Amino acid sequence: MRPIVTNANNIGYSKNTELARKTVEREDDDNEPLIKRRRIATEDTISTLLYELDTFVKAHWNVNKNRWDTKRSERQASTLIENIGTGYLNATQPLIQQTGQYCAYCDTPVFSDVRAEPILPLEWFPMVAFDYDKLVLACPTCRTLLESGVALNRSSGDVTTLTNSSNYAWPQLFWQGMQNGSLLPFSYQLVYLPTFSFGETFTPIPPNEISQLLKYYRLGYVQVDHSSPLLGHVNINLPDSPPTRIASWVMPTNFGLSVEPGVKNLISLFQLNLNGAAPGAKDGLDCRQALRTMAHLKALDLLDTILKVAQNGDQDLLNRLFELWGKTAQATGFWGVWLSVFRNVPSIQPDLANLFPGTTPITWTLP
Amino acid sequence: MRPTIKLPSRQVDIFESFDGLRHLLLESVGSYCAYCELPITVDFPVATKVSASDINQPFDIHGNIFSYTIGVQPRRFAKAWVNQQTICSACANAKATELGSQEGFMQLYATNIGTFNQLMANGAPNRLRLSDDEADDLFIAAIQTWVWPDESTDEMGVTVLPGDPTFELFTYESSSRTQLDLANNNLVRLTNDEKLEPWANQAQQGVWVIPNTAYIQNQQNPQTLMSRVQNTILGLNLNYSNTSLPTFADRRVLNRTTTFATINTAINHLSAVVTQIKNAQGQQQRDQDDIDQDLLDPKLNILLGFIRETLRATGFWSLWAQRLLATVNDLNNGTWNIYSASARKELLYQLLIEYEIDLRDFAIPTRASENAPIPNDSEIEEIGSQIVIPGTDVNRLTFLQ
Repeated sequence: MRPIVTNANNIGYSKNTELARKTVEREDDDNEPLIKRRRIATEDTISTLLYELDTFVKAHWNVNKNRWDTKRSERQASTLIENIGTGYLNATQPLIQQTGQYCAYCDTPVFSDVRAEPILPLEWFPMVAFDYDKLVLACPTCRTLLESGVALNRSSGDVTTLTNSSNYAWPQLFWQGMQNGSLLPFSYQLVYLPTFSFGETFTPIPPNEISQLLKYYRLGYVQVDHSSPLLGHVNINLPDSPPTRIASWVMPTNFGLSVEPGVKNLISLFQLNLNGAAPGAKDGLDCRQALRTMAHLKALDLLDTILKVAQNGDQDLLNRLFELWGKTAQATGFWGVWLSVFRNVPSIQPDLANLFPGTTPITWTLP
Repeated sequence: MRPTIKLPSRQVDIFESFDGLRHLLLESVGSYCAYCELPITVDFPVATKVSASDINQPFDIHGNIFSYTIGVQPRRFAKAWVNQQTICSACANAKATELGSQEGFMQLYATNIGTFNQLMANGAPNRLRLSDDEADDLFIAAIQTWVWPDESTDEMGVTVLPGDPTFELFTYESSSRTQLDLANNNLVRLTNDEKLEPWANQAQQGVWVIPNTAYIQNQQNPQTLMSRVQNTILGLNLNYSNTSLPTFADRRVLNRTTTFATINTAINHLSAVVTQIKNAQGQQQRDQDDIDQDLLDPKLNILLGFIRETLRATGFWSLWAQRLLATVNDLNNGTWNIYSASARKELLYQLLIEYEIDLRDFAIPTRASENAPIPNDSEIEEIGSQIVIPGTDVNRLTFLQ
């Protein structure tokens, strides 16, 4: 959800180069005698195949019924998609250099498997899938949710509709046109969750209970629950007490901004508040919310110490702590969490912009 | 590699799901790749130590021709706790099906020809069928070709499979080297085509994982041990870094190198604050106990807390530990050599293993308003301890003994 800016100039990725590439002529089984081989692709440019797929989808995808007209059409589309390949992955390195090794949707740092991904799936929106301004880095979980094919397809709308920020607040698009002082259209809040609920029911943790929560965190009573393979949420586990489930909740603000429905839809699309395993997520293990929640508590812990040191007037120690804080924030990820927790610290926004590459240089008014 | 104790919080059986196994791993040893030590966030693939691939393949082991699965008896070892490991995507991709039956058979042939011949009698030249005991032998033989950071225990803490002293077996080198140079020194695995690529000949500044030759040479069977260490580095391709590839998602070397710089920053702050505390005592004569009290200073304690959080966030525990150890235990370093060995050891323990928490001066919860309820304060202890990263095996860390 971090508002990011990317720049297609002077990078190692070019849409035109990718589209001019030729597919390789392939046959289904090199071990079969020549006469039995079936040609499954002809040499063609990616550009031609993209156009062919787009035309094919228009002709054979029934928008109203939300399905292919025949099974054969579905298979033909799959073959085209396979032959187009994933040349957009070549934008991975430029995007890492410009926006850091973070998932653009969930803000999780991904140290070894972050990849460029079209915001609108190639299979449904081939004509824009290689556009650099419609590519972002995505983690395995968010990729899987987007690629599942049911999240966004041609029945959800056309490119213009789906890239409209009031429908989906894409991280590199939603902030465009906003000025310094604009309201950040989303916020992060620590909440209590019911023990047996996977829905949207939550209760904000009152400010007067935060210091108590911090105490539990420091003493190690706040833990990620690994006891059940379906869960992985964060609990306060006090001795002789039932666990209390908590989470760092991301939600649209309530200012009546036009972008707020888009924020809500993006949160829903990537299931950013899902408590535990996301259905269809890679291998079923989804740690995004647990990581965000622990990052939130860590941020509160560090802020509390920084404020105490500041009260004592030890500027030398404060400077040293701030430098280490920056390294910690950078490696922990979740820009929005740090911004929410450190919101009253002067210069926090430019500091975070320096730590998280590609952050839009807008000074936000925070909810 | 951080030596770990892989202690499951409940009994693990073959019906455990892969998700369940991964949660148990995260709980017991923390969210870090056991091999490269990167933090594992959302990229935690299922990958076993010894391959569990059930694809059959032909083998030719010194003229013994037969077929068997690529993995060792997947039916038993795919979900065996001893075969589980936290692993990041980059290590999993590099490892792929490295280390499986092939290595096990080769090892048995070289070190236990009797057992090898017994296995051959059961199936060669056809498809080999192994009993559970024979598969155990093959599994152990495969395991013996690498070194392992994890000691596997059952849920009661009884050791099932010991680990190796991996903290001592590996060390790090910060230098500018080419991938080709690393490949020529058995430190990276490149294909023949890759060796001819321009990027393989371009020097890059990095922090490379290398065998700790000085340590290995003083152990029993140093040649065998060196070979196992090299197999591990090459099998996981821990030093592979092709930054010229636009799709390159393997950021292990880059992150290790960045973390190295972060560690140096942290150490500079640590040494500076210790010097400040020492200087604040003036020139007065102090006995050793008094001097050691410097390392318990509250100001230092605050800094240690921030260093621990940075360590947890960046990962690479072993890199942190080796750099901190080299600094704090450097007897030529005037900042540190005035402190007793036990005080320095305690400081390292607090930074790397476990630390005390004293919240007795913790702020009393405040009421949001006059009408707000006063929050309940449970009767929990306000003094406690926290571990830095779960599962670190102190018994295999000689600097803490």
